[in-house]
Amino acid sequence: MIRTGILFLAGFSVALSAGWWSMPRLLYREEPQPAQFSHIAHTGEKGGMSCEDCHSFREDGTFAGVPKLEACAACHSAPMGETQAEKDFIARFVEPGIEPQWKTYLRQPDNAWFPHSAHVLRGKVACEKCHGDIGKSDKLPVYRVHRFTGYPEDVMGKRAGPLGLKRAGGMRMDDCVACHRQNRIEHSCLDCHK
Amino acid sequence: MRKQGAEAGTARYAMLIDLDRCNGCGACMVACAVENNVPPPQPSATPRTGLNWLRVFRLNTGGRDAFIPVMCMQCGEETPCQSVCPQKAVELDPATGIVGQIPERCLGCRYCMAACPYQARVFNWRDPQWPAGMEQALNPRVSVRQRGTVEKCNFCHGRWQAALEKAAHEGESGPVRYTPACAEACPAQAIRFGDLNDEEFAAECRGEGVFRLLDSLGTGPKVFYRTSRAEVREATRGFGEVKRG
Amino acid sequence: MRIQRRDVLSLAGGAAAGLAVSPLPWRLLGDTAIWSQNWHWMPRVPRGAIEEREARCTLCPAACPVKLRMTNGAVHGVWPNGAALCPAGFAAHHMAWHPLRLRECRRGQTAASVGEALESLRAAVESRRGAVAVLDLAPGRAASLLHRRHMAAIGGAYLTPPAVEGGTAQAVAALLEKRAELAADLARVKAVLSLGTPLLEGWAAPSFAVERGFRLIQAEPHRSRTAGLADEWLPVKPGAETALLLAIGHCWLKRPEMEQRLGRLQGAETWRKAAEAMPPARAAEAAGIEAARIEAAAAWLLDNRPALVLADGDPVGGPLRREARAAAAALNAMLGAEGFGARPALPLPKGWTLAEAQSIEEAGDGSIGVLILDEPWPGVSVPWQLVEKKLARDAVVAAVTWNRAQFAGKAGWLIPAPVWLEAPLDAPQPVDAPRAQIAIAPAVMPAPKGAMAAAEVTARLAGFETSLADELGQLVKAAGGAGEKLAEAGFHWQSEEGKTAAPAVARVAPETWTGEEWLRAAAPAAVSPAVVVHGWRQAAVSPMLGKLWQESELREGPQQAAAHPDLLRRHGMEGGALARLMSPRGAWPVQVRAADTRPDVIAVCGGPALTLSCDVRPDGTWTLGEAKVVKS
Repeated sequence: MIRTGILFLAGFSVALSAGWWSMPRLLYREEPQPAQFSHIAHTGEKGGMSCEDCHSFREDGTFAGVPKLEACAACHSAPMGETQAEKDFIARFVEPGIEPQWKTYLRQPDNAWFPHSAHVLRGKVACEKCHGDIGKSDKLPVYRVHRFTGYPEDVMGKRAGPLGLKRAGGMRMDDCVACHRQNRIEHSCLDCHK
Repeated sequence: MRKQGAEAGTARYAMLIDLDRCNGCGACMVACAVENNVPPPQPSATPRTGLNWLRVFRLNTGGRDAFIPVMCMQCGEETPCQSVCPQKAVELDPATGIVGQIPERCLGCRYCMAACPYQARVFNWRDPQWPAGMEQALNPRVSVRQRGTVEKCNFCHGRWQAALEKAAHEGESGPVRYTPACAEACPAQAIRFGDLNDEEFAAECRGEGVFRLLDSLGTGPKVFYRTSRAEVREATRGFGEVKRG
Repeated sequence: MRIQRRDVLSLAGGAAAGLAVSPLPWRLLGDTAIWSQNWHWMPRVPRGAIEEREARCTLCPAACPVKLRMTNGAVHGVWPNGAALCPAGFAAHHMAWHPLRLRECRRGQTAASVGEALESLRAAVESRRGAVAVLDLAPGRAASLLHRRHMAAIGGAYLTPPAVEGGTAQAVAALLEKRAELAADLARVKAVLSLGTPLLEGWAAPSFAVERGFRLIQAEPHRSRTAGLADEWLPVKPGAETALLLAIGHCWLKRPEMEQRLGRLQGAETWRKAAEAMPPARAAEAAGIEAARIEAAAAWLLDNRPALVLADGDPVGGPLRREARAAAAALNAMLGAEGFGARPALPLPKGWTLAEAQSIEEAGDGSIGVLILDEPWPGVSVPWQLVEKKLARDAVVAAVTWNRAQFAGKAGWLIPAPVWLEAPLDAPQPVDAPRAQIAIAPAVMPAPKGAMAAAEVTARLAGFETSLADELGQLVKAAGGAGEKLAEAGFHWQSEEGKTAAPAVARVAPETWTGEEWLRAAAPAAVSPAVVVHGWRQAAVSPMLGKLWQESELREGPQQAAAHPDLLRRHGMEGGALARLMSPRGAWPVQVRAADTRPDVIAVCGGPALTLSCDVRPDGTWTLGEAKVVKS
C-alpha cells in the first residue's frame, strides 16, 4: 500500500514538475533578428527621432510598419556612430541593397485586420500600450517563436503570476476583445476579420 | 442626403442592378473571384460544387437574352441563414446592414445553404489550390478560407475595411463610401452600390421598374433589380425554381 | 524487490495525474488547435504596401486602359481605368503563373537553353538563305513591324495567318479605287448584318456603340452570345451564308438607287447575274430561313444607314468561305463602303525597310526552310495542316510561345516568350475603328530567365543586337513619343479620328470572278447534323475564367457543345451528358448542353488546340472533316 502511494506520488511529482518546467519553455525556439538595433540610440538625446519618423502612415491610410531598407539607408549609407552593429548592418544590407527580413513580434494571422489608423489616429491609443516601451530600449527584444503554431511568443503570451497561472502580454483575439469591450466598441466579427 | 431617423454613423449598403444594361459577360464574376481570393475551378468542379460568390444567370425571355447577376441579398429582415446557424457564424451587422459570414466559426454543417432561398452560399469542398506561384497574386485585403467552411458575398468587406482605414487616416467620420469589385468591374456599369440611408439612392431603389427577387418571402433583400422589359421581369418570377447545377 | 504490475500502474497513474495538473496537456491542446488552423499548404496572402500603376491590357486589339494593384512586385488586381474591361482582362495577370506556362526552352521534349536554340536557328538561316519566314499569329502590332524589318534584312518572308478578324475589311479593300487599309467604323454605323462574326465578344466598340443606337442582325447556325444579344438572330444553315447575301443583293437591286450604284461599279454584271439567280425564296430553302425574314433584313439595312455587312468568321472556327466574304464585300461596295474607314499607317522611323506582309496561304508549298512562329498571347492559332504544307522537308520550326502545350510536337524548338507585364508587349490595330494605335504595356514583373520576345528572336537572326524596348523605342519616337523608359511606363498613341472615310469603291467583285463562283457556293453543307466549331479566344488566359462555364452555365467553355433538345433526344443524349467529338482529325471529349440552336447543328466550343487540328478546305474554311458527336 505504502509502496503504491509512494510510487504514485513519485510519478505525480515528476510529471508535475516536468509539465510545469517544460511548458511553455520547450515550445518556443529562439530566432535571431537579422541585425541588432538600438531604439534609444535613435530616439534618445543624440538621435532625437520620434516613433512616426520611421513608423509612419502611407497615403492610403495603411501603416508602413517596420521601415524598409531605403529608410535606413537614407541616413546610414555611411557609419554614423561607432558600434559594430551599425557597421555590420551597412556591410550586410545597405551596401548590397538586400532587404533585411525583420521578424515581427506581434504578427497577426492573415484573417485578422488591424488598422493602425483607427487605433492610433482615431482611438488615440499610445504606441506603448501594445508595443511596450520599446522606444527606450537599447536592444531588440529576444524573438521566440512557437515551434508548431509559428506565432511569436509576444502574440501567444507569457506565463505570469506567482504560480504562473496567468497569462501576460500576448496579442491574441481575447486581448483585443478585452480592450474593445472595455471601450464599448464591438459591433460585428467582420469589424476585425478579413 | 441622409434619411431621417437613421442612426448616426450607420449605413445600410445596398445594390441596384440594371438588367437592361447587363449583357452577361461575366466580368463581375471574375472580378469578384480575383478580389476575394476565390480559387480557380478544379477539374472536377461543377455548377453545383463550384465557388462563385456571384453568379450570372441567363433569363429565358423568348426574345433578346437578358441576364441577372445574383449574389447574397444581405437580407435585412428575418435573415434566414442567420437564424439557422448553430455556430453564430452568421451575423447581420447593424452598422452596415451586411450579413457577415465568419469562416473562423463555421463548422461546415451547410444548414445555411439550405436555408438561403437565393442559393447564394457556396461551400469549400476542398482546401483552395492555386497554380504554383499564383499565391503571389492573392489580394492582401482578404483572407483565404480552409475547406469545410461556407462562404458568400459580403459586399467586398476588404474594400470597406480599406475605406475605413483611409477615413481614419484623414479624420473623416460617418459611414464610408466604397465600391465593391463587381460594381467597379461591370463594363456596362449595370451594378451600382450605395447606402439606403442616403435618400437619393433609396429613392432610386424604389423607382420605376425596380423589383427584388422572391420579395414575398419577406427576407428584406438589399439587392434591387431594375428593368423596363416586361418579359425580363416575368422571367425572374420563376427564380425560386432555378436549379443551381 | 520484484516489480509488480501494480507498481507500474501506480507510477503511471501518478504521472497522469501530475500531468493533468500541469499545463502540458492543456497547452498542447490549445496550441494544436492553432496549428490545425495554419496548415502549411494553405497559401498566405502577400503583406506590404498596395501600389497602383497604370498600364494597358494588350491581349486584344481593344487595348483597354487598366490600373494594376501590386504588392511586393506582384500584380494581384487588374481593374478598369476610365473605360471598360472584359472578363479576361480581370484575370490577365494570372498568365505569368498559368499551369501551362512555358518557362524554359525546349528542344522536343528535353530542356535546352535559348542560346542553343538561337545558334541552331542562325545556322539554319545561313544554310537556307531566302527560305526563312516568320508566321505572326497576332499581326498588326508594332512588334509585327519589327518582324517585317528583320525579315527584310535577311530576305525572309513575313507571313500572317488567314484573315479572320478583319477579313471583310480586307476583301472590301481589294475593291477600292486607291489602295488603303480598311477597318470597320462601328462608332459611325447604325446597322450591322454580321455573319458569324462574334461582334459582342472582344470587339471593344460595340458596348459603347449600343448606347448610341447601334443595331445588329446576327446570322449564324447557332445561338451564340452575340446572337442572343443581337436585335435579331437569323439561324442560317452552315455554309448557306452566300445564298443569304445574294438574296439580300437581289432585294436591293429592286431599288432604283441601288441599281444605279451598281451600274457605276466594275464587275456589276457578274454580281447582278448571281443576285438575280438567288431570289429570297430560293435562298430561304438553302439557308433554312423564311423568305420574309430575308427581305425584312435587306430592307432594314437600307433604311438604317450607314450600314455594314461583316463576314469575318470566328477566331476558333475559322473564316467563312471566300465566296461569302466576297458577297459581303459586294454588298458593302453597293453601300459605298460607308461602314468602313481608312486606317492611317503607323509612322515609321527613317530608313526602315519592311518586308511585305503575305498570307501564309499565298506562300509557296514546301518553300519555308526555317519558320519562327510568334504566339504572343492565348487563343490565337492556325490549322497546322496549312503550315505543314509550306514547310520544306526537314524544315526547322521554332515556336516562340507562352504555353508549352500548343505547339509541342509540331515545333522542333519551343522558346519561352514573356507574357503581358513581363516585357513591353503591344496590342494590334483595333478591329472596330479606323484608327492606328500603338499600345505598349510596361514591364512590371520579371520574365522567366531566358524568355525572349519573338521580335527579339528575329532581331538576332537578322543580326540586330537590339532589345525589344530599344527597337520599339525607335517606333515610339517616330510617333512623337519619348521612346525611353518604355519598359517602365509603357506607351499609348493613337491617330486622330475623323479623317477616316474610306476611299471610293471601284469594283463590286474581284476581277477574275465570273459569277459562277457565287452560285456554286450558295449550297449549304450536306451533312446533318453539321458540327460547327466556334470559340472565345480569351478563354485560355487564366484557369479562373472556368468559373464562367465550368462552375456556372453562363458561357460555353472549351469542350462543351450545344445542341437543340430535339437533336439531343434523337441521339439518345441529355443535357449535361458526356459525349465524344469524333472526326478523322482526332477525338475529343465534350459535354453537351441543350440550347436554343438550329436543330440540324451541333455547335462545339473549342480552343486553339481544336483549330490546330483542323484541315483547310479549298474554299478557305477550316474543318475537322466528317465530324460527329456521339454519346460517350
